[in-house]
Amino acid sequence: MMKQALLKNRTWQALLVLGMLMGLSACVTVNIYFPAAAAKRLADQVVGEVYKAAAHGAVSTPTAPTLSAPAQVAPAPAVPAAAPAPSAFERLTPAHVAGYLLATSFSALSTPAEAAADLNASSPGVQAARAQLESIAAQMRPYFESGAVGWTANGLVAIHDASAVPLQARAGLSGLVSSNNSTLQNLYQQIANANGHPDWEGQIQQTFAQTWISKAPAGYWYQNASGQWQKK
Amino acid sequence: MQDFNPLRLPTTAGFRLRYWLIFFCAGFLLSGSAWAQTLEITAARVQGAAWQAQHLRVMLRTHAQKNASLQFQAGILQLGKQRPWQAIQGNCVLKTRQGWSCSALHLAISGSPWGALQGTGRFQVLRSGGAGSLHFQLEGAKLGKLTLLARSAASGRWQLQTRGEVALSDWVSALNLLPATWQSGGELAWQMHSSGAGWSQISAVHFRAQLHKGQFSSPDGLQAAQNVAAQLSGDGHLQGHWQGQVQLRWDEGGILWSPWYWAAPARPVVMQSRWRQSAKNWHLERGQINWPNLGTAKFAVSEPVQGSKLDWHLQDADVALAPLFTTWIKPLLPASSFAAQALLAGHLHFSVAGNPALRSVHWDLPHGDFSTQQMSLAGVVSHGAWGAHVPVEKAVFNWQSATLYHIPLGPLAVRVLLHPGGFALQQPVDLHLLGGVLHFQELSGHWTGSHSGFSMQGNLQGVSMKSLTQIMHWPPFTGTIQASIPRLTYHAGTIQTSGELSAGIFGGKLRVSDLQVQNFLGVMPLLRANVSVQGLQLKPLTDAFHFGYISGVLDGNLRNLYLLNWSPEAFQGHFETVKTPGVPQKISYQAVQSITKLGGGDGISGFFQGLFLRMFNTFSYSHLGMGVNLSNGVAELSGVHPENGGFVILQGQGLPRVDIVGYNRRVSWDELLARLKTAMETGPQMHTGE
Repeated sequence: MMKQALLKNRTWQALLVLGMLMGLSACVTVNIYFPAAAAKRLADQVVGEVYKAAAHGAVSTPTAPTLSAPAQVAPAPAVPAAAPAPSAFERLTPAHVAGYLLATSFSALSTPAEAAADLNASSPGVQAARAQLESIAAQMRPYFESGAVGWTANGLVAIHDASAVPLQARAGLSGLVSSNNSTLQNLYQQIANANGHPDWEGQIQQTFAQTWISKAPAGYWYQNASGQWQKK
Repeated sequence: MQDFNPLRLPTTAGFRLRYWLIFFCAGFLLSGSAWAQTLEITAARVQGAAWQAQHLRVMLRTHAQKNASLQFQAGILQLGKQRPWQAIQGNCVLKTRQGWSCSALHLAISGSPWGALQGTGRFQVLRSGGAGSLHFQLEGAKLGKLTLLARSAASGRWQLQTRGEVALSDWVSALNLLPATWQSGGELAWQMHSSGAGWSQISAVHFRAQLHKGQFSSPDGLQAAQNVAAQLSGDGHLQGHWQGQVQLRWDEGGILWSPWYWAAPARPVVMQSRWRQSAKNWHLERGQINWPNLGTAKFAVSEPVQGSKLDWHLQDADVALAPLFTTWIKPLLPASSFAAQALLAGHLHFSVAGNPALRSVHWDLPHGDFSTQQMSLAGVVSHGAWGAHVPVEKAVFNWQSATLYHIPLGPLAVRVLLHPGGFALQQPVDLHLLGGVLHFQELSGHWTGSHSGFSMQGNLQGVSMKSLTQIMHWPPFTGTIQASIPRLTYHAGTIQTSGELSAGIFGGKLRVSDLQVQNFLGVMPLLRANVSVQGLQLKPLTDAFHFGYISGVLDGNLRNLYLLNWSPEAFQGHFETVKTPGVPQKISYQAVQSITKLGGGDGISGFFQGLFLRMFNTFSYSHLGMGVNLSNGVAELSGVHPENGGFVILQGQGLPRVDIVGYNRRVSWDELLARLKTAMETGPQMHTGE
């Protein structure tokens, strides 16, 4: 009887400790970090296709991207799920349980969750934005090649030297740059929306900004980080 | 503050100058008999109403020879509000045998509105009785060439002829004709004849200026001109007020004022007008513009001398629509808009006025055509008026025929009421299409405010599905569409409905809700909608295809349907038959084969199985349905319910009984379309059942 009472008492103590630790470990801050590598891969693909469309001067509907797995937020290590099954639990001492839960909760607090490896770029909004961008790309190419326009440090297009093209070609330049920038801005927003993080737009834009410049053909102009124009 | 007018010296200044000259001349005469003498006259300041000169010094030195030298200096010369002239120095060889002549003139000015100036030249003054003449020539790098000939009679009447040639760049900046950061160039040749009754007054002037290779450019290059050749000529007479005429002729070159660009046509563009200055206003009156290949117009402009706003009228303009659109309207449209690619034909008569914002428009289009890749209008007739401050004006807009995405539209006659911020139909209007009628109960447009665009409300009656599917190259459907169109708006390239579009189709009801089309009529339009069908009769539907015979009633929906460039991009669809009293649920052998192929099978492949089933025309079924979720180019299939790891598409009943169970859940969308096409195109069409 004494042994049974002691065992029962120890079980209750363990449950109490477990409950306290569960309460503590439930206060987990999950940090969703921007998936920079996936964004870079997506930017490489989209930018490559836009430059290709510009080179061929053809309007084409982009094919479905291969980076298609929907973004999933890796779940934070959930304490209840991590807790052993009741049958196993009975074989553990409270010290074991406490140690495991402490380690788990520490892990949850110190290892923030990270977004999934790929970015979703298959939403109709993204597809439409890409198609529209590719349709303008052929019109923009002569202006890029002549140096009339260049890439800004924030992934948009700006007039660099309008006098690089004849007067007649300059007439529609402002409107074309404006349309192109609206489409670019829409693309960044659509990618962010498709991944459930409208707040990622700025980071996606920055990722694309670097890629537009790094993949640009020789002779294209771009603004460096300090806003000065440079020729590639 | 009195403005400086270099052509008219104030009387007070004249008196002061005359006294100064008398003093100067007296001094010269007094010392003229001396041998190698020097006469020096200085003045701290001489001034008129709109000018003043400081630190003046004139020195006349006679020599043993008969020639004398004249030197003159002025520390500062201020003319009106212009930057002062500084350190003016000149010297020449003075001869007095026949009047006064000053040859080998050297002139140097260290500071002027044109910067430092240097020139050489000569002048000669002749006097005979009360008459006199002055002939002056000067030439320098910035000064160009200047020739001046002035004659005065004893009566005081005078004439002045001047002509010169200058490089434009320095003069444009000196006269602040363009902002300081702009560049300019070109050569200007000019001449002016003027005359007056008294020497301090001018009563007539004739001028002509000819520009060669004129150019300018803003720092960003978006306002520029190149190789411009133009001529400005005119005259003016003082008859109480100044009045005269002026003509501007543009012969060559191109002018860019982003977003507009104008190139000189083969024949010159000519603008001519009478001008008049009254006490309060400058006027250009009875003006005419002749722009070859574009059209002609009359114009009038009035600008107050002080305050108030410029008032302008363009009247009786008769222009060709094609160049009007290409040169003046298209640059204002977004590059990606459908209208930017439009082609127009016809002639437009119009009058517009403003002060300076647009105030009124009157137009008359006797015949016009409009076409883009997506739509066309032929035989357009329109006339009407609009006023910014007129509550209601009226307009008429008709067309003889039109197309929208290759759908032919019948003639239209619309009467609209125009108000300052938009328009609205005066009365409901019908548009005939595809054997039916699109009834516009309401159609309005707004061009002011943040929600500019169009809105409409109406219904569609009796539109032939057969014609529609034929034109759109869709599978041939039969029947007619009856649809009610709730409020539908178009704003910034996007169409959307606030309610639910509904249409009768194949005996059932089709509803479209949350409809939105982005970039409508533009590049890559994107449609988003939720679609549901209820009570769709399968018999007439399957009659339309070589799919096989199915009877029954179908319900279903397409949720989150996205069409990119009118092709499906994503949706979650599910369609399933519902038992309806009086409607048998039967399916033909051919339809079973087609559905089997659609689900990824090879049809009924077993020899005896096929032989047995072929003995029956139709089979009864209890459930028929299929789900398709399209995403990322992949369709995920489902049926009426799952079974043994697969999904039941057809659940038969009675004997003989046919069930179709699919196991291949994921299939490429293109593959599914190919299967559908194969299923509909192969095999004979069988009409069975009732």
